[in-house]
Amino acid sequence: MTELTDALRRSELFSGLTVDQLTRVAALGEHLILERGEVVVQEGELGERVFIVRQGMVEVQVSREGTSDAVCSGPMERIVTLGPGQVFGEMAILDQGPRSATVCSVEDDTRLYAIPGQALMSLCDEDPRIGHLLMRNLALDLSFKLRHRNLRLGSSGGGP
Amino acid sequence: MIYKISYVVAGSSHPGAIVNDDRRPRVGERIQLDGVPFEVVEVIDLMPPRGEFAYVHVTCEPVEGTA
Repeated sequence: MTELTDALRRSELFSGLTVDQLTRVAALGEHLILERGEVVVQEGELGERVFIVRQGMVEVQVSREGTSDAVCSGPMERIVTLGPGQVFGEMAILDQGPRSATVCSVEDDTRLYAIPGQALMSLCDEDPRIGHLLMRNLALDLSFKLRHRNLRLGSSGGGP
Repeated sequence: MIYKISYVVAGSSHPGAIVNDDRRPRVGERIQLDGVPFEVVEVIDLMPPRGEFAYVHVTCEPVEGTA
């Protein structure tokens, strides 16, 4: 198992895939290295890549009036910080809509793996076992993020 | 086991975090989010483990004098 396939295995999105299947996924994407404050996904723009955080942290933000403590410039509400193993950009491959949030790095030397959504969906179509696992894992990840959001809103420190 | 951890910060504007870790956090220990120290005050299982993954929710608070 290579360093990349091991990193993918440690992301829930690829849980259950064999080493051979992970190797096929690993062949689809490219590595990105970001400095603190670099924007990788811009809210409202079209984009179809899915990103896996391999190292460092990224912050997810949405446009709001009256908030100003986000790492990226502009009036943004900070939604969540994502660390190693986490996935973002997945909504665009499911619904083909514009990006729902801005994502930027909050640490220097943040490392991502970017996979074109269309290539990932084609792999799912070619191999329904991979397709089943990825779609199940995507649903689990979105569920986890929703639970996190609900818990945050329910906490005394939650909300803008 | 890989612990998928939801960190929620009480009493702070910090948005919290979702990270994977090889160990389960414990109440009383200090962790860092974006370089800022927080103290873990609650650790609960968010849902049953699946495969290699365990799902944990952690509530933490700012360490006095650092928030």
